[in-house]
Amino acid sequence: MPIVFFKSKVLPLQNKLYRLAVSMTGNRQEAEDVVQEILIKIWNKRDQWHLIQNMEAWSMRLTRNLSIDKLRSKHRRTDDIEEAYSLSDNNRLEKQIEAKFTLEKVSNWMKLLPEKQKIVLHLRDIEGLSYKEIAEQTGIDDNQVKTYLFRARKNLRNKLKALYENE
Amino acid sequence: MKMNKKEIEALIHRYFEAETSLEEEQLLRAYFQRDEVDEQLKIYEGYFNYFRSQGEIKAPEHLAGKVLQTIQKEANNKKGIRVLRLLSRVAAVFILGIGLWFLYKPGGTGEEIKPTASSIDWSKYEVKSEEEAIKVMQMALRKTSTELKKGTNIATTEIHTTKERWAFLK
Repeated sequence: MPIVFFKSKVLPLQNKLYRLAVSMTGNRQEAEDVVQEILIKIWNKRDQWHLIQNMEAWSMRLTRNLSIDKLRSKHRRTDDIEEAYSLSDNNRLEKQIEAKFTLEKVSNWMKLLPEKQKIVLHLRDIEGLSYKEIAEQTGIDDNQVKTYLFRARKNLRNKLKALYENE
Repeated sequence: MKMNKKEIEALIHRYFEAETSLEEEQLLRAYFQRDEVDEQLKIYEGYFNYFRSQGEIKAPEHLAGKVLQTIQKEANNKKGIRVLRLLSRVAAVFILGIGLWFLYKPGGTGEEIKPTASSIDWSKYEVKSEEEAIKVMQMALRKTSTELKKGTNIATTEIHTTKERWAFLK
């Protein structure tokens, strides 16, 4: 029965999918909408389940793609995310960051990371996946995974340093 | 495993170079979760705690219920549509059946239609005497003559019209 499989194999992924959507969109309400949409989408594609080798990787990929779509449509109304990051020193968002270090700041920096860096950092530092697992879930080459991770951490470290040097 | 400041610093350096293993990264997060973090390393405390706290986030409890409800609703809608389709087919067959029954019911074809009005009594229109016969014949001839005259007049008018048109076209 598809519903039994859905309840036992797909629904338990909801926390992982939700965390990913939160990291990608930076907004819990939006993340909830994304995960709900994805779970229903997975159910509606139940006639294709037999073709999917790794349900978790597939679900994560769907979540990532939908989160990116949501983020892009949101940023079309404001600024481009990559541009926002490269211009971050003069950026309005950056100016809003308070002097004292908090979790919220890292969360804001995460939001500004380029998409690939963001997903790789999320899967490594939040979900604790190996490079190989990250490569499987994202479709990014194994070696590239390490490069994106290095860049993401370097970006955040630079922000961290800048924050403390300004204090 | 208790680590000193130098070891943690080295680990942090390797972490930012993307050279640490998953276990080492776990050690770092565990170190910054402690209460006694070295003062100089405090700048990283929020950073590592951010990832740890993100890893503990769970989807809202109502989410799974909401999804299952939507799925159930869709299934019910589809079921409803299927039932409606089936009912409409049954209704169509029923209506067709009734129509056919009325058409082919015994004695329903009109073969034995009984006249509702009384039949015409033609006998009262029959000619009964010789005089009456002559009168009828004269009436008929008069009528024929009138109709024939009318025909000649129409033909004459038509010939005139054609001539006029022909002249106009010339």
